[in-house]
Amino acid sequence: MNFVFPLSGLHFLPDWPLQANPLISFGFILLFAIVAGEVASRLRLPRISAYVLTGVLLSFMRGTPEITGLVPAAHQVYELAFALLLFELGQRIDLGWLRRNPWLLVTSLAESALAFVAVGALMMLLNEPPILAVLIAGLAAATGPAVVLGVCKDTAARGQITDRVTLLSALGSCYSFLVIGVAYAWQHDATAAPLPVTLLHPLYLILGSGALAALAAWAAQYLPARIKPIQNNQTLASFALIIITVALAETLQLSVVISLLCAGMLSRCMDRSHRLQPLDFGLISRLALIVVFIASGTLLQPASFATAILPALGVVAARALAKGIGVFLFARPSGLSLRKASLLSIGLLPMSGATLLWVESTASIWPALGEQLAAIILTALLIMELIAPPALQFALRQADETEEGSHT
Amino acid sequence: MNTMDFAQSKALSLGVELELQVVSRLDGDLTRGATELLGLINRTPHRGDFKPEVTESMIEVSTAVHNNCVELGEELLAARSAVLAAADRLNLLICGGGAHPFQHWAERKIFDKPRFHEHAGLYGYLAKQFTVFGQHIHVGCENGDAAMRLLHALSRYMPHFIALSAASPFYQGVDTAFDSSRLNVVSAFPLSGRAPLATTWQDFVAYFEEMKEMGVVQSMKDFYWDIRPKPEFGTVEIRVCDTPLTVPHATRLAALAQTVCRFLIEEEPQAINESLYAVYAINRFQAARFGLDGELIDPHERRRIPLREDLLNLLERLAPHAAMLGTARLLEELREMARTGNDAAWIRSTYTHNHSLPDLIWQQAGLWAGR
Repeated sequence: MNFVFPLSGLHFLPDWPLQANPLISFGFILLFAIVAGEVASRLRLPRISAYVLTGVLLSFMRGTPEITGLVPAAHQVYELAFALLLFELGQRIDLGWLRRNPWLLVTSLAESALAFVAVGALMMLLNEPPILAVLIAGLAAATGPAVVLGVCKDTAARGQITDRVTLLSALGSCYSFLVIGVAYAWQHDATAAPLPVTLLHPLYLILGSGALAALAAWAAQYLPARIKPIQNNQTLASFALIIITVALAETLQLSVVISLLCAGMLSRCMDRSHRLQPLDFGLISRLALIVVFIASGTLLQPASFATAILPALGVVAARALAKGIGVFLFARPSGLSLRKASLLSIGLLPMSGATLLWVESTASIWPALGEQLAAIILTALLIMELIAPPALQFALRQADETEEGSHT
Repeated sequence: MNTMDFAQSKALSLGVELELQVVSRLDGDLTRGATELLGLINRTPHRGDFKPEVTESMIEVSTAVHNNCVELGEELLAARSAVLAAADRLNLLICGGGAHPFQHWAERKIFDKPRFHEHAGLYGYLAKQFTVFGQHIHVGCENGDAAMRLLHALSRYMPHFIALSAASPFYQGVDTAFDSSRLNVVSAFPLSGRAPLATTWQDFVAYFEEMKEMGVVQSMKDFYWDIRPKPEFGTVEIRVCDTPLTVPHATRLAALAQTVCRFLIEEEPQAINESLYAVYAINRFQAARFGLDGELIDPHERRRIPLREDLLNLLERLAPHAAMLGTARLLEELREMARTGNDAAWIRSTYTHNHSLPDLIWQQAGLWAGR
């Protein structure tokens, strides 16, 4: 290549061949996802479905051996993005509602418990080991907070189904956390850890995460309230607090999911004078949504997909049925018509992205168990990430709670 | 029966309609909840008749026909309990006030009924902007002629009703400087304002038929006048009031209406002619803009008089009629209000306290619930 040769004297030019900057792939993926989201929205599909599909396409191109397909840096970004969404969701939860309408708490316990039992029983029928059955059932019982938040924001939904799906997904995430905490203790016992360790681990997780949440909520309540609400200053200060909370939860080996969800809920409870409206993280949370759903899309593992697809479909069907029954049983006393109850049941379909974090932490403690868990639950998660957002959007539309010509 | 036949009703019998705000506990903004609220309220026997209104963020409650304001007030309080119980279960707040202080009309969902969609098609952004909340007071009349005479005689006292009920100083996030910004929204409609000076029912029906023939209106509902006859109820309907912040104040306004009507019927204090209306628009503006601090022009004496002074004079002249109707205590409370300030003044002073419109809505909801 003689004609290139003279250029080698020009030292300011980059070396040939060009070295790809890792940022470039991030930029292109983001761009692709945004464009795909726009296409989806014109087809009246949720934008987050397009983000998941982007992730699926990406999974065909990658060769990483990581169990969830996330490299460590991506893991951190995922966790932060997910944490932000949980905090935002938590702020939309009014726990006082449970006092004013106790049937909602009953509905919530029923739909989660039934889903847990149904999925657990199915796993036992399939001869999976009990610990695996409990973990899968515990993860499947919850409704995905990020999908709920994403679709509700995407469609600017307001109304009873929106409020209830949000509440039930937050409560479900809490139960799921408790069940898995106990399952962890049980597994520690099975792997012959000393008794105090068995008992202390879930206790540490619950109390520690709760304390961190309270601290974060206090800070999120008092610091931004002293900052003038101009130029998004309050929002940015809150975002900084969230980053610190996530980092602390990581360092202290607490639950990021529970810390941030509870921080959101508590900061709302503390806002007695209604000074701060629930914060809308706007652009940041949109970016977080894109990151979270691309990441869930990359979960597709062609190798295990074939063997896991049937049990995964079973999980999906069992929990859908169980949640539906739970909602219908207590629809009337909780003040919902049967038509709205069926829409609420559809709205509860999304599975939680927290699954991904739990699979990783399980795999880091018990690699073999993590592998088994990942195969079934991540396949089920992927299926639901594709089906659930359009289903939720359909339910909100049918309930007449969306803003047509949606904007975010 | 022809829809324009005037149903006979007992003179000075009363009914009230209140349009209420349905607000989310999440952020204090209006939310969609009318369908669920109505479904829940109508499951059990209750007092007050609840109906959907033009948007999902509004419900309307109307009372039965009463002769006595104290009984009317009791029914309103019972209806309040019914709607509050349902709202609690749905995590909603219910508020009085003539307008939501920061709602953005583009987000309002039109209630799912053909008439409402037709309305939205015709009026465009006005239909959504029309998310304002009023109190309508029906006063029974023995016949159509009596109704038309009462209607015109009442016009002299509309500024008093406007000033006493005004409760919408904030609209779309700003202080409008008006005590009742809601009236400006109503004024944007082509068929708003005052009724034509027909003094007999026959003349009025002739006017209505003419308008119908020209395709201007299809029914009486298409007129958005400040006072309009309601032939199927046999009443005259006063429509200028903002929904007050409290249920007792709604009862007081009804008591004022009943007493003023008795005064007008018994004493016929003024001639009914076009000069009554010469200053109508300017007086209405003064009351909506400045509330009790406004100025009136008396069309007969042709002089300016502070609205507050005119109101106090009126209450003085109403005393014997109030004694007959049992409304004296309620009118006394209005006299007190003329001194302390109307709902709009309360809203402004509450807002000055901590400069938060969401918090203002919470305080308004608390006031409405009687806390």
